[in-house]
Amino acid sequence: VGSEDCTPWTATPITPLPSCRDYVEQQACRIETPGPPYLAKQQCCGELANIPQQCRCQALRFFMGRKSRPDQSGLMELPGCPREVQMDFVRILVTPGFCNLTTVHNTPYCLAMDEWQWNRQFCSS
Amino acid sequence: AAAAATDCSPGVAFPTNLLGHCRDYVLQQTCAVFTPGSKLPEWMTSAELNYPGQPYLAKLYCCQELAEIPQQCRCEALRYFMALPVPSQPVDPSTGNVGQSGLMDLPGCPREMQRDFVRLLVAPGQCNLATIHNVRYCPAVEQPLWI
Repeated sequence: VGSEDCTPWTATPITPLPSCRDYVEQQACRIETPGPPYLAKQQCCGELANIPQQCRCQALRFFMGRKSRPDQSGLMELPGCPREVQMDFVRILVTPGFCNLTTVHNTPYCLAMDEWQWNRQFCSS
Repeated sequence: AAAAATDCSPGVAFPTNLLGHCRDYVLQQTCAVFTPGSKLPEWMTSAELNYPGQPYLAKLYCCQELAEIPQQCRCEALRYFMALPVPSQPVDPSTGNVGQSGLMDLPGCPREMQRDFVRLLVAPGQCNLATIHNVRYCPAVEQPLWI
């Protein structure tokens, strides 16, 4: 169990990652984002960088939400681009090719991002 | 094998050494092998030799590779691509061994990370290619239907 309290990043009903939602929609759904194309990535990575390293993966799990609870997700179901497709991109946001941010695992990726793996590391309540 | 598998069999509907450019694109996007200063060993960054100064060509060529696969078989091909056996050890690309298709485990960028991006390759924001159900994504792509 990490010492960092990640509650602030996994408790609010509204996602703290609005630019990441734009970036995900741009990359997964071909939806144009405000400003030049690189801006969404830049701002999204900034949002993720502001989250403590220990909490980034948890925040991303919370951002995706459970498949059965679209009402609790930061992602929107879109015509031709379902939430599940967008979730694939959320899972790799911290990797070297995108935001390149270290996580609780001291590497730039998140483990256990499948929903069935969440219970150990993520409290849904 | 199910009836659908005969329609999209590896080696029939698509070549078994498929998607070499897509592998480059996945490595580029997920693992940043083209990024100067990345911590990856030099042999891994050699993929840049294929696209000197034009990294966007990786995406273009990858999308062409996918477009050449029949629409009904694109998701099957991606499943095959994700599950292909790969060299367990880094191999000098000059020997051609890593030229085989399939994903590679890289230090700091394991295959699991790359698979998430492979699933996205046909999505509207990437190659924007229709698949088996006339949608632009692969439903339940993790399930190895072709086995």
